[in-house]
Amino acid sequence: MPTIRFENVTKSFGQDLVLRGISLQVREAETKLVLGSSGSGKTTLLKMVPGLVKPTSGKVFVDGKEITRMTEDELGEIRQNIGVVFQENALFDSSTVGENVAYRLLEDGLLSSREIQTTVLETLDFVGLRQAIDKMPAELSGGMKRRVAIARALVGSPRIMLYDEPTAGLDPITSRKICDLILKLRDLEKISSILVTHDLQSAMTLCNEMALVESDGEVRFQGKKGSFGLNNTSFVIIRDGSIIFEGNEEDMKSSKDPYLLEFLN
Amino acid sequence: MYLIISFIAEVQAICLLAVHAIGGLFKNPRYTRDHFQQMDDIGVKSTGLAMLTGLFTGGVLALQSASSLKAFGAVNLTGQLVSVALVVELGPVLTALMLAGRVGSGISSQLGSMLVTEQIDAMRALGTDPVKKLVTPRVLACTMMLPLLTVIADFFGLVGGWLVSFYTLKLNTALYWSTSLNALDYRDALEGLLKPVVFGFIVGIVGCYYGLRQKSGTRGVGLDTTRAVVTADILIIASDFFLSKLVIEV
Repeated sequence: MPTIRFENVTKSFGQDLVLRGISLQVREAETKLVLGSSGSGKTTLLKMVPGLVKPTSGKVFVDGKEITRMTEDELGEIRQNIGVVFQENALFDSSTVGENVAYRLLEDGLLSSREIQTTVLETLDFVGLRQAIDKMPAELSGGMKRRVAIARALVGSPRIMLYDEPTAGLDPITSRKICDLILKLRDLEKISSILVTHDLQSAMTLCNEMALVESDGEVRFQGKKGSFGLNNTSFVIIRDGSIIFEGNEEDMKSSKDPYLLEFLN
Repeated sequence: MYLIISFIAEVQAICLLAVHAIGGLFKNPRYTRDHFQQMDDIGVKSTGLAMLTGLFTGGVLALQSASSLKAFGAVNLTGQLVSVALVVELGPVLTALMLAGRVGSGISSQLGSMLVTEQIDAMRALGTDPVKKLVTPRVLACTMMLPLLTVIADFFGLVGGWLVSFYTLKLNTALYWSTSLNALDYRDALEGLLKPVVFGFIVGIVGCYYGLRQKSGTRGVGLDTTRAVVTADILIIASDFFLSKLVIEV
């Protein structure tokens, strides 16, 4: 059963038709890299998975449940299982980094403050930002903010992660760090994800490398061997609200579609 | 025609938001900390403004009414005019207008900025109802704090009127206070406290509505903040008229 499934989804805002008949599946532990120029409807597509935006027609399924007609209360349960990293991070700027990361746990109110503290520190360790726990989001650099946003999305161990332009506006080294985190989540935690981007270089990193745990417990990143593409990562290319290509890297590079060629160069 | 329809749609949306926000009072989780935070931000931090508004309004009322009363040789009734005008009308209305300027704009721009930076979406994605977390505490704080601020404004208004009566009109202090307090009855006090409850609710809900309304970018935040203040001001003045009429007829 696919973790996420779009069935002929359209979305219009007033007169603007943003998505036209999108059908898409994401299997468990699979990553879909959604590429497209700005304004092609990528973010709207992403926001439909946790029900933040409702489709005008068509259906969206998450874990086999149709979420299109759910109320906000019913969606709460679905959203427990989904982590979202927003385009501009969307950190709560009146709260500290620690409070941002702890937000979901504080809302649930099920854990003691000591347990929350432990989880927050563990999660911040995962993204390498333990020392920033008491800082305000405004004091952080772009890359650190992005990592806090990932940490906040990870709390509660979601099975689905949605990344909206996770490497946009970052230098290549910081982008690489963000990619490493995404690889670790995909390969070691088996999280399903949709990643929206127009950063081709990062997309290539994500479909060419994989994270492995060495015998000494260290995490290592390895490039793919030979001509086998990773079968858990594939591309979806959107243009003007329609999917014009879906497949792996090899197919994409051998495509003759003029728009695709232009996009890849 | 289009204007009428969009106006009705707007009123409907504000009413729906109000129902949702009031519903938030009766459901868990309760954001007690946010409630107190808002009461502090909206109420306690506006006391200075209420004091100054009251003080100068009372002063100018005394000055102006004395010059009219002089024609009838009734300057010693100044206190009476000041207190009734202040408690029934000017205290509630002017304090509410000041609150709309100070707090309504703040609410609208804060929520608007959170909306355009996707913080509202992030909140929903993390399982929070933003209306309950953001709107309910703000509306409740406005509704509860404006009557208290109005009482402060009224008191300082009477003091302002006394200062003018004593120093420039050379009226007797005891005369001023006794005429001003005797002129008030329970109906005036009731009217003077009913109005700010309604006005406070208006300031809170209108600010939140324009804050959370779909908009694009920071320009939208600015425009909607202006709209929030203008709409709240108009609704305050209009509802003041109807509330006065209601109280007079009952």
